[in-house]
Amino acid sequence: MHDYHDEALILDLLEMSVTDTEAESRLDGCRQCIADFAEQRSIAGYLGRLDPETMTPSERSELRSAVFAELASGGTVVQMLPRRGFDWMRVGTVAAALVGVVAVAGLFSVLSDGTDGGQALDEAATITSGDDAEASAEAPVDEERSFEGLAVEESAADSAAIAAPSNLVRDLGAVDVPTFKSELDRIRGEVTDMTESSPVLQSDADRVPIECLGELSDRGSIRAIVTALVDGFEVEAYIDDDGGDYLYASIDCSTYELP
Amino acid sequence: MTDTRDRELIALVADGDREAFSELMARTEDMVFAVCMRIMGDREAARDAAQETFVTLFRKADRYKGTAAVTTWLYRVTVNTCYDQLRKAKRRRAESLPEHVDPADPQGGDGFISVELRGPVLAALRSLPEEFRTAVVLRDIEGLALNEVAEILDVPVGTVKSRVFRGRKLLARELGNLQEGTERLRDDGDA
Repeated sequence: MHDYHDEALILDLLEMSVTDTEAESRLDGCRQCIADFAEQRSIAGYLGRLDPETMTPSERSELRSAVFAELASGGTVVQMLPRRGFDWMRVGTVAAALVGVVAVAGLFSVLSDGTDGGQALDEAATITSGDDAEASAEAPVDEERSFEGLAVEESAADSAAIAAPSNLVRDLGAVDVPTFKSELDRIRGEVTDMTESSPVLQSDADRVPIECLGELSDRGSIRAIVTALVDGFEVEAYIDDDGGDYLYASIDCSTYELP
Repeated sequence: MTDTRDRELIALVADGDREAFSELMARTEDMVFAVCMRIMGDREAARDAAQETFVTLFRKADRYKGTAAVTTWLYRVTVNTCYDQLRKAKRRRAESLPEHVDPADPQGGDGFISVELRGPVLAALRSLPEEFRTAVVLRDIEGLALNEVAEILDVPVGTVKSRVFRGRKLLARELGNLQEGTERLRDDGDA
């Protein structure tokens, strides 16, 4: 018996499929709990009886066709990588926002003596386009998330990266700390959607060009891999946490015959 | 659906085996589409999300670590793909919304929200915040255990409980409002 509102107990009782009488007995003293119990069970029961959503035969066929067509056009990252001269000038600049954010996060960690920034390094294993600011503002940021599910080390270890041409390393210029903090918040928002496959980051990367910013100094520090479209081809892009002080985003330059 | 077979298949898919992928897709496409449909609330959007999910499945099968059931991992990919698609849709709506349109007006905008929904329950479900809707869909419609939902969403079980509880409360309130509105309309029609 208790006389306070206990959501957890209500849900536990629902999970145990107790009868009304049993539930009322357990929740005795809390009228609101009894009302909530009935309401929760009613809604859950109603939802459970909804007919499953199914595809029509034509939808099923269309889905399969679309998936296989997309795979046929794109192939896997490794299989479709072109080995040819690379026109760096045609590699777009949008990644500046994308990569800039990540690099900026790393820089901020230095400025803030590794406290806030260190947390950002844990959380900011992301690659994102500049126009995602609104999206991240909408993303829930109140949940604890981790990168435990982001299993990328094996595939990263298989890749060999070399340094980018030095003239492509971006000069970050003057540092504006409030802006960095804002960017870190945005990154945290993005991170809430990360999974092993990271489809959110993947789709972001699909929309933006990316350039080779730097060498992957330590395979073990790679925190995320996405596939990016570069010059019409898919390449893998890495987000690298370089020992906790800097972050780099890089394509695997070794897959190209650099000019 | 046996997880053993799923694991065999995903290992083959990771090596680029398209026949295995086809079989895995056949085994899971109903599940993926159903979740997409409940989260997206729109058949066309659900088909797009399902397509993206399977493309991701093929391309990222090597990221599957085997610590969770294949279906759990696939649920996670599906949910995140849906989130991504919803976010894009919101962005598109925000970009295309004329200034004079009230974003809260369900008749305004591009009609992404609930135009395709059938029935008050689905409309109410669609009105829930994403995180509540997903938790409710996975628990009450897909029938997954709370700990499975927690694993899929990568949040503690307590967080799932809270989301499910609050999601159901909001649904109940929304359905009550819809019912009142319907009765009011009926009364107006009778008058």
